[in-house]
Amino acid sequence: MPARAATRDPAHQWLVLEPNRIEKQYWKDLWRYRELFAILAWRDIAFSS
Amino acid sequence: MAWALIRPFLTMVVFTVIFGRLAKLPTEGDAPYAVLVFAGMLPWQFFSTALGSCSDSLISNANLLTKVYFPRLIVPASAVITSFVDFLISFVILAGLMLWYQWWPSWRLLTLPLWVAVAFAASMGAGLWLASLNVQYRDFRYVVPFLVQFGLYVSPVGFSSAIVPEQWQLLYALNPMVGVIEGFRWAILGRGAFINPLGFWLSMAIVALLLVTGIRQFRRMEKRFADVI
Repeated sequence: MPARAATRDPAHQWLVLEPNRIEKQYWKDLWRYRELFAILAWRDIAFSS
Repeated sequence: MAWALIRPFLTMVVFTVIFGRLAKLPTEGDAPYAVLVFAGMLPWQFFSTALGSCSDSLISNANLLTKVYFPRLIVPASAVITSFVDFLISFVILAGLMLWYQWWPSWRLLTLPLWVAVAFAASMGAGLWLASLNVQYRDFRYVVPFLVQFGLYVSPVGFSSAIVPEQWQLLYALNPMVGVIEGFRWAILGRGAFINPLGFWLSMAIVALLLVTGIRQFRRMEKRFADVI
């Protein structure tokens, strides 16, 4: 998880935690969550039939 | 499930009577008008149903989006899959129609999965645009029914693309569903199916552009979904 510290004013330091924006990771996540995809699709199919 | 059969069947009957019998529009080659209409109706029904459910998918899953992390692209993608099931059910009617009219498909039918993939791309592309915009600007939910209604008339669902005058063909091909429907007809009707090569490739390029920009737009707005939904 990349972290970035704003150090412009030492009295007010901010630590910003950002989601990982590496493109490859996103598509890996998409594969990792394939079961959720199947559950959502099945839920909609069962609901419409 | 019954609606997945009744809706396209009744629309096909109405279009065949109005465009084929009353307006006496020409078919492609010697294909029965009902088969011509249904070959266009299949991808259009898939696109319109997918567009509607895709654009509404994030809003209707708001409670899920605001609680846990997962790639948000899963939600509209699952909505498109649901529409694909309806598409498969409607395909039974096409098989029945082809049997009824004794219209045997050629080897081109083997290319149908390719056209289904293109229809998927067009539905996902347009759906992702509308889904992400719908989260930020709720008025977009009123745009979808208008787009679907308008699109039905500017797409070759009830008529053949061959009747569009030559000078309008390129403008007409800016509609991504023109290429998809022509591809479906080429695969299903076989001989005599009309395809304008330049317009067709333009339409395919629009589909690719729609998908790429749709994914980019969705990815750009995705971070804010949980805050603004």
